[in-house]
Amino acid sequence: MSSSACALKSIQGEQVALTNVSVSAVLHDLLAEVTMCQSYRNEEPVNIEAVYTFPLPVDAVLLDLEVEIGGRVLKGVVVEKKAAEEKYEDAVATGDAAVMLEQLEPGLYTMNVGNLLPSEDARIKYSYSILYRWVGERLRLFIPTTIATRFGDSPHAPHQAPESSLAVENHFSLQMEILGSLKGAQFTCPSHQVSLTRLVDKVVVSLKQEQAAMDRDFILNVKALKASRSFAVCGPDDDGVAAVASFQPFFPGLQQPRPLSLAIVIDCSGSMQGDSIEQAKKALEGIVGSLQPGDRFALIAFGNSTHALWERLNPCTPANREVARQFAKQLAANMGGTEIGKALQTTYELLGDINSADILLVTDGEVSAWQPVAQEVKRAGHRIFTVGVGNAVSEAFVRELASSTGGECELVAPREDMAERVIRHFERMRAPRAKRVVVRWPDGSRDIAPNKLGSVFDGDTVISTARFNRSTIDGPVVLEVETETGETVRQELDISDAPSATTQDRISTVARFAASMRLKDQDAAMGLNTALQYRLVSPWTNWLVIAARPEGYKAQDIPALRKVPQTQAADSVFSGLMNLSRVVPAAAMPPGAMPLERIQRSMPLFSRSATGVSQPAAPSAPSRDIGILELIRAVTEQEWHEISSWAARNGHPDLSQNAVTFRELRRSGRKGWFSETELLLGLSILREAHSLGFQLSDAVLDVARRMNINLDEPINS
Amino acid sequence: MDNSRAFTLDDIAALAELPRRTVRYYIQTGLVDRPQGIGKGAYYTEKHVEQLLLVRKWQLAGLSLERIGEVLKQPSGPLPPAPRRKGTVEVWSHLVVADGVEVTLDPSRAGLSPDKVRAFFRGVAEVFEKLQNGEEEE
Repeated sequence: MSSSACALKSIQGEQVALTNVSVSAVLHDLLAEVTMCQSYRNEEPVNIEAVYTFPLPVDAVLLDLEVEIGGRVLKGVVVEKKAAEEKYEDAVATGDAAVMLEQLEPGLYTMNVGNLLPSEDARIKYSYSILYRWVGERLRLFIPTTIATRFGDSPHAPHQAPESSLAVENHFSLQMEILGSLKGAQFTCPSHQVSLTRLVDKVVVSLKQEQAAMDRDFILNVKALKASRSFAVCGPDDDGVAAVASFQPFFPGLQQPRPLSLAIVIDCSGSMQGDSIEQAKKALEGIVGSLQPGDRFALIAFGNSTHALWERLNPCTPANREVARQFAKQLAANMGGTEIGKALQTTYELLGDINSADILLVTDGEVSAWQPVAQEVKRAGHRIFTVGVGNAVSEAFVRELASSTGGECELVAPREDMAERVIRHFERMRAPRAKRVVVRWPDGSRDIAPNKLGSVFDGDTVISTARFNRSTIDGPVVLEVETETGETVRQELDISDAPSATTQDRISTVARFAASMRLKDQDAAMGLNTALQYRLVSPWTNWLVIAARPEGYKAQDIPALRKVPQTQAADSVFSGLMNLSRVVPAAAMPPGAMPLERIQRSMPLFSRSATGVSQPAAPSAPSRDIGILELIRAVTEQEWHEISSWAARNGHPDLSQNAVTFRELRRSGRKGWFSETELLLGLSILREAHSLGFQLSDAVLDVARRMNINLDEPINS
Repeated sequence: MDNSRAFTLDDIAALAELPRRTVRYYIQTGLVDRPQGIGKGAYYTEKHVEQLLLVRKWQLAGLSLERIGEVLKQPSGPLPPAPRRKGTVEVWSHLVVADGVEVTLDPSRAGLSPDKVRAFFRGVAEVFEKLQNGEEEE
């Protein structure tokens, strides 16, 4: 294909060794099995080492690695990490070919392809399984394709750290087969154009085009009937048997929903530019709309700095909601870096010791060193409900923030239904909390994992695994959830044999799955044993393939390093770019169409809160903003109070309420700076009061005259 | 200097107390010279060890590997600004001081901390405000 031929060469003339990625997936009753094949080719006159860091779903359990090189097909083995690294180095040094697959962090992997000779091809095939995570009747199948630019230095080695380039466009092809009970389900793909063919025994989903740019997550939403969503299966595990259960508890007839104390935290960092910030605004719209009288809330936006709309939680009055809406409207991805840790710290201070306060966080999660943040949030004791947005969300981070605090995570790509997900989060937050969650496995069970079940919400999936020393299991597995309001929900599942083509294996896929769950609870020594026994990639183990070359065919030199760059995530630079590149490969674009040499993002610095300098945010009307700021500054606390009581007396409750908000702002000591929204709202209050006949003070009228602000202008902000 | 002693890659990695992969990475990115000879006959000298130690020294001083590469190429005199690779996406901060006045900078390339950036912008804004006020008084 011409497009992939263009993508072969980066703008510097270096060859991109990765030529294609093909994805084939099979969706069974219980889980998805995904096989990915990365094709590499060395078009250079020297031997090279291709290094490609790539994302996988966080829940993916890698099952196999196979390398086809020099006409041979070699199976990967799982080796202790240090030993694997040594063997890989030895092979590279002696001129042999070597492939090493390592896990950098949850959801992030690096493929090392050492010593690819000139004109040589390598095809690397790996497969993973993933258990479904049902939410109500919905399942979201997610295949990430690129790593968006993350904030801060990468904590990984320089050869592993992902780098993205606008000059490179990697491509993938995809085909999915849906078998068994899911074949009657409903499918929608919000990320790509796909074609769907329903056959007698299966449904086939494939990309409409032969290939697509790897610039966004692939998402397939599945809606299916309840019958096919819960299950328990077992499979051989050496001399015993291992089992996996996937529950979906429903709590019938929820009682009085809880009023919320909610801090809404919105990521306005540069990486949110484009689709993501639009999604965040949409989310905010839904959030503010879902608040009820009786709830209390606060709004916090962050980037490099943190900007709180209020200093504390405020009641959900119509006026406060309006202020929040206005605040939301003016948000832009212009606050610089993603200092999410600091933003959460500010949020905790704002929440103080309010026990049951929750945090609703909207972010793309693009932070390099996210693991320390995910550790830190455990201590605060507030649940974090996350909405992960964007075309290439950092799944691991937004999921971990939620799961480690007892919250839940919703990933929402552009063109997915935001309102539905926000409502879902509100249902979770308002629901009575689970006080006791127990999974009862039949007699003889051991090594139940995870050893602590996190939060359990109505209609969400709960997974548990266990091992048995015997070869048969007697009786069902039971989930029991007791809520804080005293209700008990019970779900019982019969355990059946897993349908498996490789039943002769002493260690079944189910057993490897169960082992991968145990890994998460284990320390280095135990984890290493488990990972080696069950052939799992882990923080302590890598996949490795060594292809020895015969004498005379060995590479003679240290290979040239060719890092495979990430394709820039869709929309993250400027809207419209990706529409363009879908037709024209980036490298073939005329210079006029896209300034490849230096693309700058216009990023007004959101410095007002930090410095007290009154910088207008929008370049379009800066002088006017300064004028309005002067005007608002001129209104004293007393005058806001007078406007408020005058409006109340004369039958303008909204105006009165709004003026109270400003009196409060003034009382809180805020004189130096206001957000753009606040400015416009303040101006509209003054105009309304003025036009209704309230006599503004001379000082205020004087500033208005001096700043050329017409208070008689019709109100439209 | 005695360049006659021949080391293997393992040797120089051990001498510099660096993992082999790291040493190889430095060679691949040109921070450290390639070995003498090829294939099985490849060997390293004390010059390579010195280069490794130099890279380590600069790293401990807080320089990025890219910057170290430039320092090594230009051992004396002022450092040239780091060249930009084509296709790189840069995040620039724009501050609108007033209509028609805009300051653009990349804090990391300018070597400014966020605090310094704010102080800088504050200063610029003040200067501009002063100019504006001066005009009004005229």
